[in-house]
Amino acid sequence: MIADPEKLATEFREAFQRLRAEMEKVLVGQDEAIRGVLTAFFAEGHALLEGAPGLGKTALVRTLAGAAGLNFSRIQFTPDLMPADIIGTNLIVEDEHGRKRFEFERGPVFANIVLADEINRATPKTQSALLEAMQERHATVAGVQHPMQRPFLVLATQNPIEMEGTYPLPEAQLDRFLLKLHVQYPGADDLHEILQRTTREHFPVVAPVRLENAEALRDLVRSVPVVREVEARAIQLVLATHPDRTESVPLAKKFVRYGASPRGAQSLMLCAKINALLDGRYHVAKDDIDAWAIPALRHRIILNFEGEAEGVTAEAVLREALAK
Amino acid sequence: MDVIVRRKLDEARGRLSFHHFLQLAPWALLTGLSLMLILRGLALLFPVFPDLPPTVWVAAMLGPLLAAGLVAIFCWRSLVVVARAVDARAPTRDRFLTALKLDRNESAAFGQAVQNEVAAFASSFRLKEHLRLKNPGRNLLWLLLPLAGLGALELFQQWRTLRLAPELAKARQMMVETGLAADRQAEKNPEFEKVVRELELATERFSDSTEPLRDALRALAELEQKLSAATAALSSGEASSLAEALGGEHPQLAADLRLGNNQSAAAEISRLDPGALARALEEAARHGENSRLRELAQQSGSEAQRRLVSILQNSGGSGGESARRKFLSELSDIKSGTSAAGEQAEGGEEGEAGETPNGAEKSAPAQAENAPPGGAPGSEKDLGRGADLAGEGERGEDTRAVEEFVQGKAGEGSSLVEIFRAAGNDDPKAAQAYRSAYGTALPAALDAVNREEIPAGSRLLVRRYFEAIRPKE
Repeated sequence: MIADPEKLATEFREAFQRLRAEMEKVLVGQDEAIRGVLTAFFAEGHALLEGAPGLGKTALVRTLAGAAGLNFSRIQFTPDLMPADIIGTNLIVEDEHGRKRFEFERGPVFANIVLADEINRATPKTQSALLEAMQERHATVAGVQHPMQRPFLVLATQNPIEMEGTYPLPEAQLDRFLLKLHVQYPGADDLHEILQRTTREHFPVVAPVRLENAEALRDLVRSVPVVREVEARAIQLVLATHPDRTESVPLAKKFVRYGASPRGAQSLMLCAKINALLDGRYHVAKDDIDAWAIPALRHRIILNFEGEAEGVTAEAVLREALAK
Repeated sequence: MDVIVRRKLDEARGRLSFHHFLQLAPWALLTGLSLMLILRGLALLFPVFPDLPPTVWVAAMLGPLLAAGLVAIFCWRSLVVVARAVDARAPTRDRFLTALKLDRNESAAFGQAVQNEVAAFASSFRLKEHLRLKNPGRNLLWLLLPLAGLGALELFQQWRTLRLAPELAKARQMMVETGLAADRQAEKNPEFEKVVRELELATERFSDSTEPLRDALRALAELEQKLSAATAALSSGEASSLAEALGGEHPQLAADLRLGNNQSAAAEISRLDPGALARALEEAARHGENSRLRELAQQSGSEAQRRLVSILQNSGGSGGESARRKFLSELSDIKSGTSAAGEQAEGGEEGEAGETPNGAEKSAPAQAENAPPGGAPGSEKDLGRGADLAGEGERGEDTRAVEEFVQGKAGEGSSLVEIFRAAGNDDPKAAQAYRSAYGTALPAALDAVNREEIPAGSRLLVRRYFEAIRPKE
């Protein structure tokens, strides 16, 4: 049980603000993405960043790792990438006595923050190698489980433009991501600022933020209370995306093949709790849930053929559900 | 729950209930006004519907308002409903609902923190700014509909009152004159006090009528009929039927009946055995098919004897009889005067009862419109003297049959025949007198219309017809 939740909540807000301030030293015009990534960080969930090349997706993840002072590894996903390249493999090593034995050589996934760059370029087999790590937070090699470090975050990026030679992520893997964030193109003022910061002599340096109570802060998030009527809002939103439910919205009935999973409701609630804490409250409101409905649910809705053909998006379905 | 939060929610409940009541109030008023509109319309269209006292108006308006108030209180009785509404209308971030619903045991770590935070928020939260009254303007516009309807009904009532004023005045005048005549008779004969009361009641009844003159004439006709029935002696047909039945055992009595010696006949009948009289009445009724004899025959012997004696004595010119006749004569004059005034008005001249400049002009067509088929009861036509009754004699002409003994050719002895001189449409050579034929046809027709399943209006029409062709006394 948390001894002094009010004090811890204040600490949480300060930690969040400091991390954001450090990240904003490098990243310009990506407030929503920064907020999303930090939310995923404190909820200990994974995030999928989608955006055009050059918008700073990789920089965003790298900056987070730097600001949080955590281990960071980057995996550039390519079609010839193998699962062992991610998880690691057993190597035969010889000791000083000349005896040979297998030793597990850890792959890049064994880090606090893993950047899975252009994750949709790897084959589904390789993509699936991440599944166990993302969900169970350990990797099994030759019957031996190797736990991940805490915290463990996979921040994957993908490019929505180039579809040639890409492998869309399987639904099961998509569902493992807490959030799907769209990295927006910066405005003119933001571009000026980017140029100012990145093309001069001094490149901004990110100072690591010491998070002494990181575990306690993550536990705090889960302790935020939610009353049943507010919880019902999250359930209503999730059920509204299911075409065969009475609660579903017309767009979902017509254009959705599968709606959001229960894991979507869990993700939505965690994000809403963080939102409440950042707002200075100790309880979740319906507005908190609404605020995170699109990033937390959009990648969990699978459109049917008509939906794809009509150009309907998961966001449109969710907007209709939010307006209900 | 914190005291401040509780206080805020109570305040919000008061405001929400009041706002809800104000939203419902126009609809409640609309309901009340519509109800009044319907009741007022019914009262105007159907005179049997009573005019509404002010208490009904107050109840019709306050009742729905009270119901609206109760609905508003009932809807907002739960604090959870209030909290939900406040959270929906104001940027409270579900604080009030959370404060109410939060299970402290379940969220022990945050329970107190949540309560403190909500209390701090509630203390600075201004309900007035967020729970504002919606403009009920559009709802109020609906009230114009029933108000306009009530206004239209009131105008219609005023117009009708103005239109009926001359007719009503004329009807009242007629009733007053009849009342005065009855009063004069009541000084001598207490029997007329009842008549005076009946006239007063009739006057009260038609004061709200849409056809006052017609109702007045009808009331007078009923009175006239009642008095006439009380005075009517045995007709010659009835007398001859009874004489024939009694002739075998009581020749003197039979001769008296035939000759119209009613007083001596009454004296003899009073001495008769009631059983023998009952048998004679049965026979006479069978032969003559006369309703009055049949009615007497159905009574017990002594009762029939008493009534028959009374009928014969009254027809002989008793004090009550003469008073009734005098009153009937006056009544006839009063009615005739009215009809004459109506005819004058119809001819375009100003009537005597024209309180308004064109009052007479209005009253005559109105009277004509309201008149039943065959003439209004008690009017000239109703007396059997109308132009629709072909062959009837002029007013005042003696229509009574005069009985004479003549030497007939059919038989050897003398026989009793009835010769009618200028008796309405009676042909002197007719086999049966008009009065007698009427007396036979009327009960037969009334029996038929009462027995058959025919519309009530048609039944009334038949009665009216027989009233119209009733032979003059």
